[in-house]
Amino acid sequence: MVETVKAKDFSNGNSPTWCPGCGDYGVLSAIQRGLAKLNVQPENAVLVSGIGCSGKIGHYFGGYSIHTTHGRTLPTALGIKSSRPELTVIAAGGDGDGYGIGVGHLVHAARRNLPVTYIVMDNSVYGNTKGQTSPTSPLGYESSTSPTGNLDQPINPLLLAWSSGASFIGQGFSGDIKHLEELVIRGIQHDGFSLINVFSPCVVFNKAQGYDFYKQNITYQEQPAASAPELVSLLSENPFNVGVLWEKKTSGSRYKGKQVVESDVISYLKSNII
Amino acid sequence: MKSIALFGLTGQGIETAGEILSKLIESLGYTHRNWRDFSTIIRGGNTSFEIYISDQYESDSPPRLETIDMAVVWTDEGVNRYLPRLKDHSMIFGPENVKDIPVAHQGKPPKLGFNVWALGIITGYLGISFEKVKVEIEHKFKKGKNTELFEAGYQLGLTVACENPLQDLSVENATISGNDALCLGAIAGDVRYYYGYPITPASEILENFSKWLPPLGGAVFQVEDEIAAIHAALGCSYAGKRTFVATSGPGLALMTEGLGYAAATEIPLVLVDNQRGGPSTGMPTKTEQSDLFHLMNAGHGEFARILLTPTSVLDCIVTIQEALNLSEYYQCPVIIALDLDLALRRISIPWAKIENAIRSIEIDRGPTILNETMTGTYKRYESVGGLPPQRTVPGVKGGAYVASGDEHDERGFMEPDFKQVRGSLHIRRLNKANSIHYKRPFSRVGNQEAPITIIGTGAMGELIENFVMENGAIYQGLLVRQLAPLPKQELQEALKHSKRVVVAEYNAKAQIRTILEAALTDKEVHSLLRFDGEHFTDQEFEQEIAAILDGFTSNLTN
Repeated sequence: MVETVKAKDFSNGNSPTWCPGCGDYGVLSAIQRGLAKLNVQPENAVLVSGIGCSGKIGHYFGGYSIHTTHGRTLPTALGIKSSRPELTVIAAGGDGDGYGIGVGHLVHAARRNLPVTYIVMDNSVYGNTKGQTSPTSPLGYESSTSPTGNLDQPINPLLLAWSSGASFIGQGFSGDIKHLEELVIRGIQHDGFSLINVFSPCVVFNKAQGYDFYKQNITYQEQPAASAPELVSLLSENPFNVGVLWEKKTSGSRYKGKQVVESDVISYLKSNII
Repeated sequence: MKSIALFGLTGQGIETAGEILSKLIESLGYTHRNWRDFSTIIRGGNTSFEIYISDQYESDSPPRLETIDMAVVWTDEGVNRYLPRLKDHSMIFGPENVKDIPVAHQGKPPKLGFNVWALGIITGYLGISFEKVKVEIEHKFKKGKNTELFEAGYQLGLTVACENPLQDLSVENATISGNDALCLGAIAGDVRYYYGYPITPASEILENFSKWLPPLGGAVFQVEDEIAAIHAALGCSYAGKRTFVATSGPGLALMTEGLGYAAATEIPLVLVDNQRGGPSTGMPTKTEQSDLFHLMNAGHGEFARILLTPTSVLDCIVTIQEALNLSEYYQCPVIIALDLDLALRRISIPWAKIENAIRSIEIDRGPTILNETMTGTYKRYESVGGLPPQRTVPGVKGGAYVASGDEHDERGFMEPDFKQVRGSLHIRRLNKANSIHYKRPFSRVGNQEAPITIIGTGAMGELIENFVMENGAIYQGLLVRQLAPLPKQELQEALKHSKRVVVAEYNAKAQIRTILEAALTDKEVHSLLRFDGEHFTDQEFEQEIAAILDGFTSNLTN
């Protein structure tokens, strides 16, 4: 008899130390529920997390988990997924982790199109270090590192990922767990790299972009963009569109279970050097 | 022993001619070593190729020889470089406009075609069958003009045919570099996945694996930088598959981030550093052994590591297999340091020797749990009886845990009681490789009771071995392979008859000597240092040793 996996099977009993009201609770919950719905066995799921408040997510996850260095979730996920393609691999980190220090890896993970679901908990602030400006902080954002207002254009992560060849782009809100859970499921089911940017409020250090702000600003999109121009206008005109915004059928199968054609290793090596 | 040099300009196909020559000699079964003036290939300008051939197939490949039996040169610069090194000053060949070439040894090769003409002279001199060479040349170059040039060269070579022409020894030889050797050993050690970023002199590893791993069911990724490479390798290792990373100085600087992470999370990691001239971009195509201080200490905070230095090309095959086993047992970074010369050196040796080295080590996954189901509460970082903890991999039921670079408790959870874990888990992690079970901390050559010991490793190994074998009973050679943890007692035992020690190394700060210091306290220690990027020839090395020991050795013989 196959036991049905439940969301609580993806809990490990360790209590989160996030602040009350932190958006990351919703993200953890959506991941746990999504994996359970897909009936993934906990031992076959790996959550790769980065550094920052969001990076703690792996410590509360009931499957396997690897809490990496700052910004390195995607290379680590590459190592896991490429060598163990049968595992479900989710990378998760914050906007500083993924769009600041680790942004170079995002470009290449998108190009490589390895079936890894990358969830970014975007709160537009460095919360763990107590409120500095982040790569997605809006222009004029006032913080300890931009006391007269942020002068740098915020990054548009979804367009960046798209221009790097990402085959699945979604956006969600941790205040709507049901919707987010569906996004996570769609991302995992996608046979290629998927980026899901999640508005995950920091209620302590970024009060301007709290739950109410997102509730007022997000717009649900029922269908992914049908064309590149449509996506570009969706993402540039309203950065708060949520849903699956881009989905291109691809096959990540070039990384799945390579055929062993040479079984006699020594003879094979010999044939390669003589 | 025979030694031949070919000198020309980049773009003249000097390298190609060298490859053909090496292949021909390999097919006859002669052990040999190739050397090329690598730097000029990048810069443009002069380039040279040297080959040293051993008369006896039993012997190891010869070191870089000073004395040259014959040289074929394109310019006066070639004469300047090789005339002083020729055993017989008439044995130089070249175009008629080049100075100091005996009239009988002159020819009229065109600029493009000089290499084929030279190949003719060399193979004629060596007595390799005309037809055999012709087939190779016609396979590689267009027939017609090239064939004529080859024939002209061959006739010239016959006029000075050597006394012991090469014959078919019926020995199956293979030509490999240190990098090739690492790849062969790694595959034998079950490495099927590789993540790399191109860098001289480690790119060859990435290139080899790109060809060799897919048919074995593996995969290779050229990633965006060395930070990605080491983290991908750590992901792969966390997932229970074997891999390693290889780089050189500038890449090592980036990988240092992952090194400390591997130590904190106790994920097995093997890191190969092919050292080149530093600091910074330094001398990318020149050899040095100057990263050792960095490798001993790289990374913030404090953690255990193992540092091994292979002593020959063949030794690379064995050492990387040992390193993979050690890393899974001790669950700490195991670093293998080569130097550029050892990494890129190409030697031709009997395949049987290579196969022996490939088969010499059994795969041992240590306390890795790959298939069982765990019962009870599994604690990833719990040590029982002082042994390394059991390590599960994804897929193992009941074995899920979090590997975290944040300080953690025995289950892996961050934000623990620091006072408690720093006194227990951290101390265990810090001291776990204070002494290791390793059977080959060094190799000894020559007289084990000799009054003088010459110590070195990597590229220096062949020179020390050759010197000790040539210079008799007053010398012992000690090729050190384990630099960390220091095999102090074993070294002291091996050195107990030696009053004097020379530590020969390619750096300016005597790094190997400093690392070994605790084992050398009662010795008179001398340093032989070189840091201009060049590898000694046999004679240069002998002269340096003689200068250092001047007086002392004559007292011994009187």
